[in-house]
Amino acid sequence: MLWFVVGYIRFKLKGDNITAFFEACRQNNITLKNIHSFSGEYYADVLGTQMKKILQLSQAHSIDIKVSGHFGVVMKFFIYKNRVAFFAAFIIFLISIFLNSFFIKDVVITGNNYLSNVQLDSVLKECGIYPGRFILSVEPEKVQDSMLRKCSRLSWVWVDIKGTVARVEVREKISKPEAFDKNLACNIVAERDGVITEAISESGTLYAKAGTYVQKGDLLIGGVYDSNEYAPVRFVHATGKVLAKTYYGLHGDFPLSYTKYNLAESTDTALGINFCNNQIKTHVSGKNNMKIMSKSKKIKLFGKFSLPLGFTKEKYCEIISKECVLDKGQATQMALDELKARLNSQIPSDAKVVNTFEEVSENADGSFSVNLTFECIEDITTELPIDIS
Amino acid sequence: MDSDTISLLQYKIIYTNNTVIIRGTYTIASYDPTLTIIKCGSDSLCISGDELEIVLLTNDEIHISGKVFSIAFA
Repeated sequence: MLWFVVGYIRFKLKGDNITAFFEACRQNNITLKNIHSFSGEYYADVLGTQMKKILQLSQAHSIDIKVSGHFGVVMKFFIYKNRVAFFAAFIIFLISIFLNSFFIKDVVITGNNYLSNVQLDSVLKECGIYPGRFILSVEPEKVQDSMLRKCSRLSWVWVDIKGTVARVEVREKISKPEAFDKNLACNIVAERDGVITEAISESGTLYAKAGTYVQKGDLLIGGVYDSNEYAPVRFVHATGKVLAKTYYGLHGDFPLSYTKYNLAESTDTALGINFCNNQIKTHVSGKNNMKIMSKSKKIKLFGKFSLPLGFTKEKYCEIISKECVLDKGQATQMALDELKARLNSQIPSDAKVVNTFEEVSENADGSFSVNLTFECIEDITTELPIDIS
Repeated sequence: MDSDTISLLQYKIIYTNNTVIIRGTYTIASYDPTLTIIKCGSDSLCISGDELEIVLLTNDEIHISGKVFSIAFA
C-alpha cells in the first residue's frame, strides 16, 4: 500500500557485478522488490525516494541503469505535472460531475388537473424548488408545508428528489358546488328568448302562459305575494318549470372545392443531440412536414444522475394537399353535417331538438350559403334573487 | 512441502507457497534465476530452481520466489 501511494520506479540493470550491487543495496538499507531476470537483464523495483541512492551505487559498481516504468499515485502525479490540459480537463470533469449531481435539473409535476404546470411552477419557485437549486439545501418537508400554505387549492403535496430530478406530486381540493339557499326569496325569469309551451309553478305566482313569446329576463314565476287585508307582502323562493320552444341558428359560406390534406407514406428521420435543453438536429424540417414521432433519451450516470446531454429522434411526414371539387349535393350535405356538428356542441345539454330548418342558397362567386336552425324544447327558467332591502 | 522452518541463532528460513524467506543476517553471494546462493553466517544456502525472483530485499529479510527445486546447505 505504501509503495502504491508513495510510488515506485522499475529499473533495468545491466552489468557484471549485479550480486555485489544487490548486496550494496541491502547494506545501505535500500529495499528492492521483484528482482528478476529477463533476457540477460535484471529488473527491480525501488521506492521513488531511494532512486537517488540507487544511482550512486550503480555508478560505484559499474552497473548500467535504465528506468523502465513509474508506478503509484505520487509518481503518476510527477510524471503528468506538466500536462496542464490533462489536469484542466480532469478538473472540468470533476466540476461537471459536481454540477450535475448537486443541482436540480428538472422539476416534474404530476397529479394536477385544474392547476396548470405554470401556476404550480411559480409556487414551487417561491418555495425553493426550481432548476439550478442546490439539492442539499432543499428540505422536502418544509417545501410541502410551504406549498400547502401558499396554495389553498392544494390538499396534499409530496416532494421527492431522485438524483437531479425533483418529482412533485399534488392532490387538488375538490371544490363543493355553490348551493343556492332554498329559503332565499327569488323570482324565476327567462334564461333565453322562446315561445312557452308549458308552464308549471310549484311555489310563487305564475305569470308565464303557454303560447306567449318571452324574451330573456322576462318574469315567469314571481316570488312576491301581494298584500291583502289578511296578510302583508310575502316573499317566497319561487320554483317551477317553464318549457319553451327556443331557436338556435348557424350560418356558413362553403365553396364547392376544398383542400384535402393527407400524410405521405414515406417518413423522414431527424436525429439530434440535446445539450442543456438546446437541440442540435441533423436536418431542419420543412414547412409542409408534420412531426409524427418524437423520442428523447437523457444520458444518466449510474442510472441516477442525468447529464445535460441527450439524444433525440424525430420522425416527420410530409403533408400532401389535394384540391377536391364536389357536386352541389355532396357539398350541401358536407356543409350541413359540419354545421350540425358545430350547432350540437353549442346548444344546452337539456335542450331537445324537435325540428331542423335548412336553407341553402347559391352565391354569385360559385360558393353557396347554408343556414341551419334548430328548434328545441327546453326549460328556460333561471333563479333571480329578490333584493328585499 | 507446506511449510518448513529451521530456526538457527542468526537467521531463520521459512519456505511457504514456493517462496523462500530468510530473516536475519545474510549476504547475497550470487543471484541467478536458476541458482541463488545466500550466505547466512558461516552457512551458504544454495537455492536451485527455475525463474527465481527476489521479490523483496531489505537489510534483514530476503524473499525468493519461483519454482524452487531444492534448498541445500553448503
